[in-house]
Amino acid sequence: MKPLLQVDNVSQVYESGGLLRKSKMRAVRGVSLELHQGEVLAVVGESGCGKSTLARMILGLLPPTEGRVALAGRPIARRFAGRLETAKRLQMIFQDPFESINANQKVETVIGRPLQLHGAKGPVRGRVLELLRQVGLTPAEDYIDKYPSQLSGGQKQRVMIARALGIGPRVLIADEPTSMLDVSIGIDIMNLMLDLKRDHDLSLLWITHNLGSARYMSDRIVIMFGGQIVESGPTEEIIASPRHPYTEALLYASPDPWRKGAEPAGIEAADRAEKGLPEDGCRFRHRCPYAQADCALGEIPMDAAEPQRGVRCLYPLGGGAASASSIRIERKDFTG
Amino acid sequence: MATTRTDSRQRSGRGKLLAGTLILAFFAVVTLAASQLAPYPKNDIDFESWLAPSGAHLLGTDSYGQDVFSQLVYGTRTSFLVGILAGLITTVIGVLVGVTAGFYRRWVSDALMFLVDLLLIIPIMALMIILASYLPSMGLTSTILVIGLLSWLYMARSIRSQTLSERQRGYVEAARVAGMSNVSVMLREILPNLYPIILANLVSVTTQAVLAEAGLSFLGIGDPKNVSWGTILALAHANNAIMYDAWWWIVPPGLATALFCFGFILIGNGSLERYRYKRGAAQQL
Amino acid sequence: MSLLEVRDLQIEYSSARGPFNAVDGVSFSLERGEIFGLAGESGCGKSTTAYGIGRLLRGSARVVGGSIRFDGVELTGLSDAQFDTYRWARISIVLQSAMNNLNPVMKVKDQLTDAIFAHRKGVSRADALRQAAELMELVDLPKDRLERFPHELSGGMRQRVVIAMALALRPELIIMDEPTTALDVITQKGIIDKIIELKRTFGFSVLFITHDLPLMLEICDRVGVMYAGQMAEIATRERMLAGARHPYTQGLLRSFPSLTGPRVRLAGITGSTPDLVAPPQGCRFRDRCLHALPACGSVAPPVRSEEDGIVSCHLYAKEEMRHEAVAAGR
Repeated sequence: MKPLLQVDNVSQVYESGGLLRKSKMRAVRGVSLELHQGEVLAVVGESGCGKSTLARMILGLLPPTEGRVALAGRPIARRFAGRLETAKRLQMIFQDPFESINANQKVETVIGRPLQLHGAKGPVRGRVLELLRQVGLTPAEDYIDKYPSQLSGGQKQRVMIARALGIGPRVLIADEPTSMLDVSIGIDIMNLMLDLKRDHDLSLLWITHNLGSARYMSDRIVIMFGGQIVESGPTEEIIASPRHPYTEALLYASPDPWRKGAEPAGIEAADRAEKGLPEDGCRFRHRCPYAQADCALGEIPMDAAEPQRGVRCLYPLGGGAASASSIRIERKDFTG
Repeated sequence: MATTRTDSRQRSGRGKLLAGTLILAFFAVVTLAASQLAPYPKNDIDFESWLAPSGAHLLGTDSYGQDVFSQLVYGTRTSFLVGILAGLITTVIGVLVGVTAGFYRRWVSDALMFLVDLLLIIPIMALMIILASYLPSMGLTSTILVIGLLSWLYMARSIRSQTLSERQRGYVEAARVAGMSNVSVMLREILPNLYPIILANLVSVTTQAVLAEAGLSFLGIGDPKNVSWGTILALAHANNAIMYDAWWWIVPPGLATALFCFGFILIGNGSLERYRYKRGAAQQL
Repeated sequence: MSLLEVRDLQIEYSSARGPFNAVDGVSFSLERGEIFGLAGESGCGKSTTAYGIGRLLRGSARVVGGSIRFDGVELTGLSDAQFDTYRWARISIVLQSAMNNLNPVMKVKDQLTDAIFAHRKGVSRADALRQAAELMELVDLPKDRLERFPHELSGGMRQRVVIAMALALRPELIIMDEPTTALDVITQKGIIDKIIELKRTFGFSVLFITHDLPLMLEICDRVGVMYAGQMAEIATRERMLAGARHPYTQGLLRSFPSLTGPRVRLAGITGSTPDLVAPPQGCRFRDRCLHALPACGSVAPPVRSEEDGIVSCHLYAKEEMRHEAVAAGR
């Protein structure tokens, strides 16, 4: 099946400095990914790994230095004429609902204005009420005339989701939409997005630093490090048997008091960010407990020997699926 | 206790707005009905000079034998119109230039700000004097235009810097993602958020316009036949009213100027408080 | 005797809508060598409690009731000058953002020695520098970092410097307010491991504040969960891992997606926290509680002490209901 969203070898280079000494920062380095109809793909990485830059390029807010992004086979437009069309298919939920909502507009305007922009004729109040109900802000009449400062963080985020939903996109990009919220509110937002995804047959690109939320939301995961995708694969396989040493470190560093079994040796080395990231070779090698001399040489290719899985490592972990079972530990299910 | 404090703050927002509006409405009525309200015609010099206030001359007469009260009433018309219209012109240009320069980066912003900086080097009052003296006739319209067209520089600067910080905010990016064009992001998303700073500037440019008119008149550059609070003060000063203890010639135009400015400040502060209150800032802990 | 004994602590804030108790009758104790966690969501009063103990309250906040006994001495009655003999020397503090702890225009070396000079009179400069180098070694930072300015260090290294500073005078209690929240998980893991190791070496106690309950359960011996200014439950780590007692804690635990076990839909907690200016009668959690009883609406929940914890909930008032509730929590 043809992917709905196709990101093809996209790079972003920021240049800074004057005429004589220009310095280049390669924030995203040749990222390719595909998002299929009805799929949830999680992009996981720590701050500065390039995941938010990638999102802005996909949305057309930032022109890629190299590569191309296509939505349903058509390139993402950067000029205004195409922006409206892009917006119709591709919407974004932002990290900080306190910032992304215009404090000056009532809820009706926040949700209603994009509706008018995208061709709604006549009064949109009824449609706005309907959208509020869909995102669980009921009774909707109580919310529609409020200003954002009268809403909690979780309610603001729901309004922003309603706004995106109203435009009727096929792809939603969510950039850590729960990280500013309390956990019990955040999980509600995640559930809401999963429900909306199911009901509206949306595809979802879930950007996060939290492997736990990635697992909760996604069908597939790509792990980003230093502007590159270092590992990709089906969610449960990645969680059960990470093949890239960075993914392993990320997994074992994520707090989970119910996890049993010894942690892999050398994980603490991943915390050593003394030298900064190397430009050539494997970008993780200074922090990698398994690094060898040849990790410094040349560009490390993405190895896709296994179907559905890719890993950018000369010495991937596990070697095969056999080691997966040693990490997979059942814990007592506290959720009842 | 703290609750009542909020209530009173809210009320005072409304109260300030009302008081300011009443003051400005008062001046507006005086402006419109000047010929009915003034007991004597404009520039009538048929009276004895230096008369102290009395029933016939509520605010006495000046050294030329003009009725000060009548002068003040006619002067209101000039000062009020200059303040409101020059203030509006200034605000429109200041907002237009400031928002555009703040929103569009690179050459648009650079070019506009270069122009502003260039003009800011020249002392505005001096420029006004030169312009005013070159104009064939210095009527009320030219006064308004000279003041209005030359006072927007600082306002443009402050609006630009606020726009610069607003355009970095998340809601601007969210609006783009929703598919809005630059013009609608600027006018419908950013501009309403600039309301408080525009308001603060509006208050100050209006009061400055009144003072600038007074200054020009004081220097004898305004229309000699036109009376304004500024010309009254200028004449009083030129004729050593203080030495004659003729307080009735100095205090009323001074008070009128102050009251007019105060009315604007009240409206500004009051509507700012109402603006914040309506958007729920007061409901937050 | 416990190192720290907090009884019925009340901390008041004033707001535009009136005064309210951000901390309303909180009690707990902290043993020597123990890591005690204060968990809860934003606005629950966990940081305010810690700041009240460390005398770091700002703005309108002030302690209006209760007692804080540290090593047998009542701290609430002390003047600021008297409290200064405790500050840093016996109770030190690590804040969330390392930049809030560090002076951006001073070298790491000078900040560490300043902390030593301020509280240890008559220490020579050479001595202080030697101590600073030792502190750097304790937190696994190379000595050449002493010559750096804070902005030249990564976030994780800065937080290590802050921990070194907190250790400078070998305090008995270190208050840590979300010390790793701003860091990436791998960096966080390194710092958490370091804290546990240092605690084993020096035997200090830690009051650890975070909203991240799984993280807390990885490092704390005991955990107190706060809700709307009150202590909902205190339990040992083992107790929490086996199943929390209080419905709020249960809900909180159900809000963290996990990396182990089957993938199940998590329920979270519906509703929002009550208004503290006019808190509801009875149990403050009842509107969001899945097990609310009629009594919860009118009577403040009784506090029940057990071997492995304390819970403040009507469900545990009677023996037979207790078993049901515990079962529900699993």
